[in-house]
Amino acid sequence: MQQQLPSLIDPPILFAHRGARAHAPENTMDAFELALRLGATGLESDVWCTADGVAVLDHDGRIGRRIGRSRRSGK
Amino acid sequence: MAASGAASVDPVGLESDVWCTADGVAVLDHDGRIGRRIGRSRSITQVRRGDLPAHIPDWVELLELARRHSVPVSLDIKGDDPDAIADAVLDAVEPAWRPHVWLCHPDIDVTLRLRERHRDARLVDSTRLHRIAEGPERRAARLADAGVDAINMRIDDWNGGLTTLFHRFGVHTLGWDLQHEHQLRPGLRMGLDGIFSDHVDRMVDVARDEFGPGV
Repeated sequence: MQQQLPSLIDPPILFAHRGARAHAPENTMDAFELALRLGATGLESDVWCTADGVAVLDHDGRIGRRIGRSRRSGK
Repeated sequence: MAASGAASVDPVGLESDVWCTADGVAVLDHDGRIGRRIGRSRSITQVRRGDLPAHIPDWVELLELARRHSVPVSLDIKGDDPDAIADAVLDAVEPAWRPHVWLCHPDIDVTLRLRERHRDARLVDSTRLHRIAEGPERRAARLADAGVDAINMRIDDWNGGLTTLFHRFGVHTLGWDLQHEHQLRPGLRMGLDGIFSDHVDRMVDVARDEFGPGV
């Protein structure tokens, strides 16, 4: 097994990729809050600017209309 | 809320994308939302904030959450105008908190330009090993000379020799796509300064096993 090499940040930052995206809809406040409850020590997301200059968080930067009302499985 | 859907799942050894339906049935789904997407999709850059779906957060919302919990945020800058996005992000952050915001971009020239514009921002060269034409040592020197704070590469690209090399130049090392224990444990042992994972529970478990319960 590899020996522990030193890092510049000790302990290293544990970034939740797009929030706790394995367990919640990615890049939502629910996902980020869940990530912190699970013990993440950093949060990661993707940032875009809207047409009116607001920085918002989304992965691919595209939105589309869905058939019917989009709702979560648990609701 | 999403958290309640996920909270029914044991956070240890969890496989991905498990949700509970309203009648208590565990189902597998990627984003936990139903409804087929139709019609032409549009770029966020062409839509005003007020016309976006409500589940898309503002940067300021995430910033407030991060500040409340004193945790850093890493943001991948997307779109065709990285300067405007960096301005929008950093304008919302008071100078004392800016060291906690890591701004990542895949184009080294853009990152170097951002360095000139924002001296107090944390900037990350987000790349792959095969894209570093000049080789890692020259890239490390270039980043150090320019004052770029970190380099971020996929875990497959990293090894202990590379983390040591970049650290020698004072450049932080970040690794992404660490999803399984066989990636997480070596990634932490090779001295990465930050790691990115979809599986927060797994990542935290391995880190606590390596560094102790205080992580």
